[in-house]
Amino acid sequence: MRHAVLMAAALAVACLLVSPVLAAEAPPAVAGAMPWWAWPIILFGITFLLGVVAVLGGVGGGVLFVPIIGSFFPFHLDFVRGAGLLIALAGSLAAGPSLLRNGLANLRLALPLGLIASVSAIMGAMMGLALPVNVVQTALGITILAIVALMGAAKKSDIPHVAAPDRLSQMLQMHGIFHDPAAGRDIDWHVHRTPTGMVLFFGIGMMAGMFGLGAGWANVPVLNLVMGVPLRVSAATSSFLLSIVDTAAAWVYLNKGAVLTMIAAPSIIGMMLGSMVGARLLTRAKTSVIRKIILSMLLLAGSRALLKGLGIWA
Amino acid sequence: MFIRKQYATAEALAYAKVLQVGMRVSLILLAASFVGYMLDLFSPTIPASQMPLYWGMSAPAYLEHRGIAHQNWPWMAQMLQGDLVFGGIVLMAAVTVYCYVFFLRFPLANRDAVMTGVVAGEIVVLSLAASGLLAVGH
Repeated sequence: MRHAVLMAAALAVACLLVSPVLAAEAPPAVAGAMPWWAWPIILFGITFLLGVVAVLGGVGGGVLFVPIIGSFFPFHLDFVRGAGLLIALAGSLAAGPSLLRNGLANLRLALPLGLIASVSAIMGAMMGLALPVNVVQTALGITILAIVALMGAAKKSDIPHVAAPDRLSQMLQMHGIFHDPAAGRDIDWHVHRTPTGMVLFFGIGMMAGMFGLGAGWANVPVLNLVMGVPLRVSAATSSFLLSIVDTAAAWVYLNKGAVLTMIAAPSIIGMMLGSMVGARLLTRAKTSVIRKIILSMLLLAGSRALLKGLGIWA
Repeated sequence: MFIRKQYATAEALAYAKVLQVGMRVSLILLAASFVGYMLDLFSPTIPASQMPLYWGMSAPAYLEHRGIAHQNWPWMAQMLQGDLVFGGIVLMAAVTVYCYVFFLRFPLANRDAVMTGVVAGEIVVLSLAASGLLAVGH
């Protein structure tokens, strides 16, 4: 089955490459230096690279895709955000099964938080599509720059100390056990500050829906540092959570007509193939260097989005 | 004999199984239909070569130009106009809804009222989002 997915993706890539042959019979749709078929090829190439660095840097694809493609490509931000959500959704769906099977992604933790975040993601998506594009672009720029600051400053705790689980987490059975290979033993974990975490997840869902970013950049710190979930469980549950939150927002974008297949399909395929290559390079790459590259890319794209939204760098 | 310890619960394993099938089918469908779209096999109303005329427009303006601005499910209208790539995309967006419907039997069987409420609530939220009722009024 996995080979079938790869073959289908390879066929789609081959198709992108032969499209110039087909285009020889069709006149370019718009006047300009770039023929129409070049854009999906470039988009595929860029998203492939983003997929590689996203895995190496430990971030989701959506958070790189929306500011970079939205700032430097001729596509309307509506369609870029729609594609960004679908990219994050595809990545989460692909990773979900193995994360659930190895016990790292926890359903009892994810489902209540997913319910709250998906409600706010729908609200965020509706707000984002209703606001003027320059307002959304400016807010996107500010959000991306805040993410850069968060990623640069955030601490991590492999196994946070939870003195006692709170009542809400006990009622929702938010606890589990996982094997920590570094410690060489099984770790029992519990959750505290659940109400605070739920409020924060409401805000995360809102931003994910409004900007089409996915939300792994915010999920992991909240799960790990606020709620006291071990880092490995936080990362895995965050990845699985995206499949719930982004599904809710993606439906709003689909039903508002904010999805163009010409943008979404090569982006999803490029990101998925890039992620597979990135996963293979993971043991050899210097992740600290990759992380600095990602922060630089986000800084540039966030600044560009902010200046574009303010009309300074149109 | 080495016995691998199982850390995942039975409900998580069942969810993972359904998720995996749905994800793979949707990705194969997406890639295959995109091949057909780029090769112009489906004779879409707007061929791929014309898309640069539209991708700089806002979503409402794009729907207006396609004459489907007042339809509740624009993705369905575009599918009917030959853009079959939406088949894979819509299936991808429906996988989680299906997983939740499948998963609901676990908390029901365990008489777990809280988790039944959470799962049923999510099914309602996702179904409302998918229905288009929340997307009326550009």
